[in-house]
Amino acid sequence: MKLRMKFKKEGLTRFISHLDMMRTFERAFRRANLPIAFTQGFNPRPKITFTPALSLGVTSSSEYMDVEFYEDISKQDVVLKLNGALPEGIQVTDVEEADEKLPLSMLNCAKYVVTVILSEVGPEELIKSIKILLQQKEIIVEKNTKSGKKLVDIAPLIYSIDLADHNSDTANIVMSISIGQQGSVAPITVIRQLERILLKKLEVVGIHREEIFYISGDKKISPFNVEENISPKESK
Amino acid sequence: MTIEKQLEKLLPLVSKPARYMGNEYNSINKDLNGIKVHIALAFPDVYEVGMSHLGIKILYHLLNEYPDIYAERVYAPWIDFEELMRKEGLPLFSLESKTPISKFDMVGFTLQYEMSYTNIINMLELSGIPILSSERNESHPFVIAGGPCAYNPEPLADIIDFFIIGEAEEAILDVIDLYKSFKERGESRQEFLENVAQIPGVYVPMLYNVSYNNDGTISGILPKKDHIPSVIQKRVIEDLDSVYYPTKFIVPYIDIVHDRAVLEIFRGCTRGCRFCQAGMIYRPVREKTVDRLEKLAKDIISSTGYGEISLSSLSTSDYSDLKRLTQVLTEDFRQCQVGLSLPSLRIDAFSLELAKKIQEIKKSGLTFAPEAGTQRLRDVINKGVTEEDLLSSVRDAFALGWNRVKLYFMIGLPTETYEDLKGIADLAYAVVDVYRQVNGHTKGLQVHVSTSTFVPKPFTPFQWESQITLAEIDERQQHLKKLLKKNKNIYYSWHNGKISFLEAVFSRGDRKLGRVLKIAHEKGCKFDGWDEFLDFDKWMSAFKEAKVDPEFYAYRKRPETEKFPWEIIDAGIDKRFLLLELEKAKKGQTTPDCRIRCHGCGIRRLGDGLCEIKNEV
Repeated sequence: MKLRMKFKKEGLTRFISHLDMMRTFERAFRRANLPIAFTQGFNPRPKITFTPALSLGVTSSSEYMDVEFYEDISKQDVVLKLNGALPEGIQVTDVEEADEKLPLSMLNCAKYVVTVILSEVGPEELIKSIKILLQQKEIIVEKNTKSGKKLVDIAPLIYSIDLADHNSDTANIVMSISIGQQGSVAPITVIRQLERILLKKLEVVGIHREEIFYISGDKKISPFNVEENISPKESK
Repeated sequence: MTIEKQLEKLLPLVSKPARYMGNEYNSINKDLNGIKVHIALAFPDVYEVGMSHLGIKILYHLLNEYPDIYAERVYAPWIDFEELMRKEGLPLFSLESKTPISKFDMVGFTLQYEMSYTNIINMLELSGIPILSSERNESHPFVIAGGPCAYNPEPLADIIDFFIIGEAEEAILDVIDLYKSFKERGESRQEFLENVAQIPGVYVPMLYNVSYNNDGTISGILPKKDHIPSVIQKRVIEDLDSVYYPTKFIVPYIDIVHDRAVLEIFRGCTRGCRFCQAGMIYRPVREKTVDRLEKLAKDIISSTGYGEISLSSLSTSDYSDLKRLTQVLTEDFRQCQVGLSLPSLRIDAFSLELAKKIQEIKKSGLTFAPEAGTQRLRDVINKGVTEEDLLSSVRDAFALGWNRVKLYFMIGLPTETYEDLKGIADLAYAVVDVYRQVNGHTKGLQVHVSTSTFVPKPFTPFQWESQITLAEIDERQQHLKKLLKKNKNIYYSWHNGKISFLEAVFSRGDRKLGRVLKIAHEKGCKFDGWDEFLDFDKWMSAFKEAKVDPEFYAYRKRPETEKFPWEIIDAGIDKRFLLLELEKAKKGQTTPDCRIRCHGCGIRRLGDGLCEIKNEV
């Protein structure tokens, strides 16, 4: 039986890397005494898959994992036991049977909320800079890859940017951007581009991943709401 | 700004921020209001190293069992974070409550290796605590220390307020009890130190006068007052089976050096290798029962979720009932995929049979520690391994499919000649030959030969011996390199000789070295045990400025009549026994395992029934 769980990563746990999170869950499952399945072979690993990695320092209320169990177990039980065994800051918020039509590795878009301090930059200026950035046909940035520095165009990786709300001190910039294997851009890279237009520094005090989904054409599908939205061809 | 707020700002800027955030599963949070004694347990190295250390874990959980005591952890910040801390004026803080270390009642350092001493000074400085004991007053914490290096406390005598010698599980509680009444009565710092000096196992260096002979050797370390003990006997836990052992170990987020559950199966070692300090100071051997260990293991796994449990001791093969223990544990953990690992295993037919079942060993390759290249020298050091033992074990291992072997040796052992170095190479080549005989080829075979330089240690039969010079270390390493490079299956690596030299200075050093440490720290020395950070030139100029000759400590062969700085400590091992062992070493005579026969090392002085009585010599 395979369950899909939604969890959040808050507070100090945002400083835990993707790899360390995987280990944290493996241990939490063992502490919770849940019957998770392991791979066969010389070096057995628990059968858990995650959504694309979250950058260090970013909080999230929308992480998912698919977990395979070697015997059937009630969804409520899993959540209760697992949450009792997880460190403070990491918590499972929802669980469903995993829909194999949409593997988590296919998710390609995330909505982030970036909180910046409004000291040097006013909200109107910020809105203007967002507009200018979105109008650019091409946004070339330097990216560090394994094989050295590379120039990439991040324009096609940005779905939307908005100034969601603000008060006298801070503003929340909401952006939907591409994640996953087909191409990804970090929220902070987008912020750096806004700075370039503003010619001023934006002090970022928080980055939060709020939603994560699969976008295909004009369809937007959430991991818990796959239903008929996906044609079998696409899930290949 | 609170430390928490500052951290939120700084953590995104440093490597491995999880080193400083605390909040790990099973870490303990307490309301500071109900706390009478607040103690910081400090490990003077980076988080990944410090978090792997069992002693601190035991004390952490033991002390936190008491509602009015709060023990927290602190490690040496890595270079990048230290730089930020200094720039931002962030003081060193505890991982749990983020309290500045200077606000604690006590700060306890564990001394695992000499090369961490500058980190202690650096951590005190980052805390804003005066480095010298004499400069601290009622507003400062007591700075205490324990661990194996505390058996020669003298190099840190100016820095540490008091040492706890030996196993601390009971002594630390005695100290804390005294501290509570001291706090209630509002006594002075000096009064507390004079009282704590009377707790068995506690050494308060400032209460002693050291006098020297003209040649720089010690003529005496004498208490300044009548009621202060003239010798400090180490503390020993009599019944190890029933002593407190934690089960709710902290589970770190990041990968630490030993990232697994640790089950201590016994303390002490009966083999009597003559270079080995641990084998002497942790005497006598005391085992835990299989029943207790099984219960502990189950509890540890269910409260930590670790996927691996390691059986810890100085020599795992010597556990009386190892076969039953491994059977029971393998059985218990089969379902939940928990692996067993057995470090410090002597490789023989039995352990190979075990190893077949326990994959962990297979992954890491097999490790053998013959320590010396010839039988003559192995007899000198009393390492009871023969070439035949080694080669037949290796043969079995190769037949079972292993193709990676690590061989550990020491160079510069007393009486070593180039013949012995050649013996190291011969042994390595013999291992390659065995592989060829078994497999018909040497494809895929890796024989890793690693040498470290012998460091004479206090309370060992070799405490009178000298270390070879830096030039000799280099020559012998180069010689081995030449001998070993002819075969492409053999890989040779060696420990930095300069680090071994400094270790030799501090392991048998006296109080005069305190000044050297302070100057070296001022010059920026830290993380000296890390090859990439050791700045030997700075050390040499620190010795010069302090007018201390390091060679006096490292190279000098001591006469039998010399009084040693560490003789203020009674480790339970008689000097007479050590001298006898030294004489036997010189004659190449071995001393059998004392489980077979008692050799009268002296440990039984420390308590009736502490060590099983075997027929006396």
